[in-house]
Amino acid sequence: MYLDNENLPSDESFDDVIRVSLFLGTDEHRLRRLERFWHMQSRRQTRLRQVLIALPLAAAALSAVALGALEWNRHKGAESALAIRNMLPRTNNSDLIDTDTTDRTPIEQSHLAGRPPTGYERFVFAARTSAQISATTMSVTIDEAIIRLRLNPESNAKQMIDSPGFERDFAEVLLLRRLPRSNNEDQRAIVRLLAVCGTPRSTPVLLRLVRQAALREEALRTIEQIVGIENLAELVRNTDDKRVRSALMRRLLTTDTEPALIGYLSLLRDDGTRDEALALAVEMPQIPIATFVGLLDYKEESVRLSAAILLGHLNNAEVTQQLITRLTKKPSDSTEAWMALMACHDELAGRFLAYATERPQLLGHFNTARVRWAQMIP
Amino acid sequence: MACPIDRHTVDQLVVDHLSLALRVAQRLTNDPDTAEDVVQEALCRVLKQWKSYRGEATFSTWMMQIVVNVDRDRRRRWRKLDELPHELCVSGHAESNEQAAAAELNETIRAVINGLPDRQREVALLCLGEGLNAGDAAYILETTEANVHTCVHLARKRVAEAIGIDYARRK
Repeated sequence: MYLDNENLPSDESFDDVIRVSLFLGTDEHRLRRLERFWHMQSRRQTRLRQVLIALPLAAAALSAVALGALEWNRHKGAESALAIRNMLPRTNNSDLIDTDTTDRTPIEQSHLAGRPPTGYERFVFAARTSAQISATTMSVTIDEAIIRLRLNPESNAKQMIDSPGFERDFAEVLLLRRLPRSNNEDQRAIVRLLAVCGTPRSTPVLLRLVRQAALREEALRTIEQIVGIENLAELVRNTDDKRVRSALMRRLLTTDTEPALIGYLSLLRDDGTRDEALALAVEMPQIPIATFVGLLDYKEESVRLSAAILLGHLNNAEVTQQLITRLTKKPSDSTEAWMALMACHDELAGRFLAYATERPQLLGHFNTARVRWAQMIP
Repeated sequence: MACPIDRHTVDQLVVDHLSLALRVAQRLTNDPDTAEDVVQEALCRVLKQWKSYRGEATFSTWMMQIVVNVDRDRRRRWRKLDELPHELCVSGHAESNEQAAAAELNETIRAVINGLPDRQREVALLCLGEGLNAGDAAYILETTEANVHTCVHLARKRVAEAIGIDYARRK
């Protein structure tokens, strides 16, 4: 009970209570940004209107000039022809034709090479041609960029975003606005553009796209570019959707780089994600085992221990083989490697551990690992 | 009928009412980022449609109608997808018992308003949250004043029930 029933309020005071509850402050920063957006769009529309007004006028002026020039040429041509005719002596028409043909020097015809032009010839031709490739062709609008990327997936999205006509500040907002009402092909193009101009603000929308199998890879790649591979693990923790979590973890596991795998190992230290992460590692056909074995020597103990837990959980012949190789090369400073091997239950691991108990140079390290293992497992 | 305002006046009026637009959008979307997107989209529509403004309502009311319509379109677009939960950011922590009780009351009222059906929620946010009169709210939401009064009544009743007031006995 929040209010006393004995002192029941009137409609107005009751409305006041509700108004106070719904009170919302003004975010000055956002307001300023919106003001800027408004002024920019307003100016752009004014310019567009001016262009639209000027365009027919310019076209009309050009046509008038062209027609005038044509008419002037025709008039001038007729005048000079008349003047020349008047200057010529009166002759027979047939004589005139004969003289003309005999005096004419033959025009030298260029011969075809009979082969395709070489690279150098093509370059020279392109350099001398009057057709110029305008820099403005790169100034594309968002819609043009989407269409270009859809038609030619090889196009350079970064070059488009960096082109002079593109306003990078608002590109992300416009792309996010177009995303929900676009088809799959356009969405793919938009995701590629977001990879260039996106900020963490785009991440929730991209995570939604990860649910769709058709766009999953593209969306994951873009998320990775926006937040960085080392922050994907944080997204796994903050995502409720199991499919998205699984896709993000797969991405971490398949990207065979140290930051990605360290991020993945951090999931093993989290009670909420450990089981899921371990189950996925067992399911995956290709695990970068060598890199994980390398991480047994990492400077942070938590990473070394997580790597040991993972390798022990994988428990397959390849892991055992690599762990034995690692221990044989460097038996000291390898407590975590020993622990991982102790978790492997195959025959080869058993034989190696039995062998270690008989070798004084290995037994000390083995025992250290056993004590540590016992301390970790209550 | 000709447009009663020129382009320069529109520029000025939009800037004057931007704060109200952002607040209304924030109330409707419950998320500051989405609210900003909604207002941006609304501004683009204002630019396209300002000549259709006939002066039958104040400019701010006309502009709010556009904001509400953009939000409705947005909801329609995303309805089929599971939206990630958005939380309205509430800053600060209640320190004393009194503050804690007030915060709890506010939270309850907000939850009740957010849980109302779309039309009732829009009416409650505009009339109770922004203090608009029934006429303006009816214009913005393209409905009748009678309907607005009914929605406000229902919203009050739901809030009263949630906070433990006997609405029938209330003066």
